[in-house]
Amino acid sequence: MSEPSADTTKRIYEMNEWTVQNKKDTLFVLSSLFIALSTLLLLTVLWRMGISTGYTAAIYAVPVVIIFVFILINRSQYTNRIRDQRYWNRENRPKNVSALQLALCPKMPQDAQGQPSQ
Amino acid sequence: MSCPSVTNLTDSDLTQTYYHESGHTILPSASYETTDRTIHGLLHPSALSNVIASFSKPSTSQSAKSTQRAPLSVEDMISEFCFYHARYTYAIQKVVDSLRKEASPDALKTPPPRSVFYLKHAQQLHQRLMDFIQTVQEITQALQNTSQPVDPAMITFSRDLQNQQGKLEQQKSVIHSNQAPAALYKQMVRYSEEKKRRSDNLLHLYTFLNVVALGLLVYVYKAAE
Repeated sequence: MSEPSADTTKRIYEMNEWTVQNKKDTLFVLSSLFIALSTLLLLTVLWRMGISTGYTAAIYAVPVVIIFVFILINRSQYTNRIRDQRYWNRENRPKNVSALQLALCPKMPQDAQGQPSQ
Repeated sequence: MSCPSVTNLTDSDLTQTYYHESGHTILPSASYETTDRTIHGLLHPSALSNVIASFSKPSTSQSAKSTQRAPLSVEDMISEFCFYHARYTYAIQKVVDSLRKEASPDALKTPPPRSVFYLKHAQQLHQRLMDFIQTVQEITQALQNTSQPVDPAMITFSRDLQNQQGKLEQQKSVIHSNQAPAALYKQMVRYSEEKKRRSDNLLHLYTFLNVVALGLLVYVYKAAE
């Protein structure tokens, strides 16, 4: 079997790098989940021990859950929709051509174009 | 033997030659000719014996006060080796950095590959390091053949260089091959696979921690009912 060329090896390196970065991103989400679960556990223990009320625990728990859900949706949407599928650090923003269209200007009279009147 | 890390090197340092105030160095300022080498790239025994003979010749330097060459100390030799080793390490790092940049979208903006430039310097510095090691080993051998006792530091230095030679021999097959970029990319692929395995281990660890935390949470919550 022949040796892979420099281009093939380069492509394998690119794919590996993308996978490694994706795993790191997943690791970020998992560590966020761990922090959220640990916080919820602490709040539940405090509630169970009678140190805090259920209402107080819920006040602190809800933002934690919201932040985690936001992180989860944000990471997943960014990678699936905006992130380039070849280069991890490149963005592929959806092209909204209509938003960039200039307003239609009324036509100038022929004699007024480029010739200032004397 | 451990060389101090040098971080302030630039591209212009790659072509520098080692200078010692005594004027004595192991390697000449100009590289050896191809006629001085064997087909394997090693220095020819006759070229080596000329180098060793030059150490016992009277000094021709005007600045030297004595008529005999002052013997090179082991510290001077280490200093010379570290000088070239630091530049070689810099060149190799730059080759890898350039290849990494060439594998990124920005590579389109820089058509002339810098990796070729750094690879050429890395090959030259690798050759100089190999010449240095070969010369020092020949000097140690010549000293051991005489009846005079040899400095133990010199023997230790020669042994350290032998270890370095093993590493450099391994790198030789990569940087001196015709497919050097492909070979280096292969090494980079191996490195990225290593990173992938490391990330996998961390993912497994965090998955386990999350399962434990979730289990505890459910257990405490159920206990509260």
